[in-house]
Amino acid sequence: MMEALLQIDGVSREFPVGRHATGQPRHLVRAVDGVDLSLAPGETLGLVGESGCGKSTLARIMMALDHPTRGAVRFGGAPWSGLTARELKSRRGRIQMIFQDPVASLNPRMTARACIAEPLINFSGLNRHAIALRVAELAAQVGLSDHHLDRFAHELSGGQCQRVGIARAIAAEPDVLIADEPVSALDVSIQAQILNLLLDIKQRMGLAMVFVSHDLSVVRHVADRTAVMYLGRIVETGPSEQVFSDPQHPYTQMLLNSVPHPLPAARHRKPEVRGELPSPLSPPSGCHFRTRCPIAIETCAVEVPVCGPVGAVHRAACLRLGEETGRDRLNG
Amino acid sequence: MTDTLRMQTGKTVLDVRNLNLTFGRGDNALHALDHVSLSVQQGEILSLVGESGCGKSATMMAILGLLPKRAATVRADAIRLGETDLAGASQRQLRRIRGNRIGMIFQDPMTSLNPVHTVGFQIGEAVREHRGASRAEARHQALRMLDLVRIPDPARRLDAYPHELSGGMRQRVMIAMALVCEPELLIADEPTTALDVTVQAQIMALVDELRVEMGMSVVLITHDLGVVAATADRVAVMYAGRIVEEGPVEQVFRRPSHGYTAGLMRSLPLDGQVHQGRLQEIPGSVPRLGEAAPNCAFAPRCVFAKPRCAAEVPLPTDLGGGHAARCFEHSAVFADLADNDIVRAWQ
Repeated sequence: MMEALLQIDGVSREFPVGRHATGQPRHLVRAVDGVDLSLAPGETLGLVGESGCGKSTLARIMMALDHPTRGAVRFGGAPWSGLTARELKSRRGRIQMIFQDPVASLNPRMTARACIAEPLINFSGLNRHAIALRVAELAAQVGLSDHHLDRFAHELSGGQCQRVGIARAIAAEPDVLIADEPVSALDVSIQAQILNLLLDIKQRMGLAMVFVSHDLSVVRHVADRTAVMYLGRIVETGPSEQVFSDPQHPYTQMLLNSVPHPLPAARHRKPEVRGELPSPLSPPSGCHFRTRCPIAIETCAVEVPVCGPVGAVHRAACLRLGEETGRDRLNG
Repeated sequence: MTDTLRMQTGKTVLDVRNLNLTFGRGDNALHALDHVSLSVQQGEILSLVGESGCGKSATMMAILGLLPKRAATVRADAIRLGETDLAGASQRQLRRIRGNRIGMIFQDPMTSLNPVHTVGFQIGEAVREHRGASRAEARHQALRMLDLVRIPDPARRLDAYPHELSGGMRQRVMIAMALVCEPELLIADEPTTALDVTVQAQIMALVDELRVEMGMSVVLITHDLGVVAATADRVAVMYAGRIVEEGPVEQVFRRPSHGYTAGLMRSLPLDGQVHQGRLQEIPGSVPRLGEAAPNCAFAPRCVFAKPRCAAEVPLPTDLGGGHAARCFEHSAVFADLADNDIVRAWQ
């Protein structure tokens, strides 16, 4: 196997909630809980899960915008967490991010041209003339015309703003692109344009990409490999095709079953969703999913399931993996 | 011009004919809605589909009389709820109808609930206001509603404040508030957009069940064709202030007949898609209010557009069975989609 570009080992991130009179935190929320993941060069990793599952915190840790309380992140073979600000800044250009809200993520007082030029000024060391040429080149790559470049964010549509965001992210020629819900805020008719653009760029530049989304159809289409998160833990990971067509973890099955497809089979179907997401402040013991799981047994309350192998590269964290549970896993 | 598109069967709960809405006056007037006609039968779920700014929420605001009089001009041949004329109703009359005969739920359950009152109080408020119920009666009704929307341990939740509930629970409370007066019509404006898929599935199933239990009609505003396929009986697709296609859900999915509907269906990444292959995009962007093309507003983005589309307003073409589309090229649109996975699945 190729050496991982981004390697995450046993990463946890705890946030203090509330304060005692002594200044000690009242509770700790473990937003990310013992996550192991790796990203190979050129690979697209999909990260799915519902709000509060820790996918955005994990993305921020990958960006070194946040630091793990435990565990280690390595980027390009070198430690990536716990660097000094100076060390970080010199390497930031290699890993860039695209955000969910394309309008809010651009500086309202900068033109599109200035937004795209900024990372070049910070990282490329090019002179002004070369930067101007490079901005025009990047704009063409993301499908913006010259007249868009002199506009401010509020004068551009959501799709055009996201194109600026993408141009800005690839300006420094990064190795990794982290896209946090890059199409969720866009109109349905614009989503396909931006997804196509991301796929194009990824292929052309040979980028690795982490694609965070709650939209399962989109992740299935874009990602080579998918990791499913529930309450801070990764419950299933594997090649997208296998995870989506043969989900092994009961949570993945429930999630996939809830997606309304525009197909006749979906009509007036009763969802097999049980219960509510427990509070992340006091997640259930053992397997976090057991309170909503149709096949939970007593051991699930005691033992924390490890993410064990299903196939060669497909893994799931379920104690009842491979057992005959009387449920057709495919139909959940 | 008359734009009534559908067959009328059963009792009509909501009937809107040729609704026009403009913001501002004179040369600066912006036309937000153009000859929008809708009808909802008893017990039916009608889905309004479209992207931001297409006028789906504006249609409902106009029907409910919630648009500011000074800025918005609403003209319509008829807006009727059962036998009641809403177009000519005073604000006082409308206040007796909203929350009573028409229930409403909105996209964001956090900002639509009052943070300083308990959910029990907020649910009971409508029965006290509209039915003159006492505090004790209102509380009893609120408890019954919390139970109806399947909130576990309803007696305890009655005294909870909105911030103590999860997003899904809050949306259930919104539904309880909307339904406490047993309305004839429920208007749900993107009720699940802010929620996760598993919660969305639960909420949509709940709306569907309550509609049957209470014999209520629903207008469901959404941008998600999956939600339409799962719950709606009929669908009206809106683009730039017009209804461009309308019909029973099965027929519209089986024979999409407007370039825009077709474009939406083609652009979805489905399971059958080549992995990481190119998705079919709709070129261009959604026109801003007042910047839409004058005749067929979709023509500049439509792959099927002919010179005629830019020269004439397409009137609804009747395609049978209550299905109609405002598209000159509806045959070409459908022919091109014959091997689309979604369309084939519905045939």
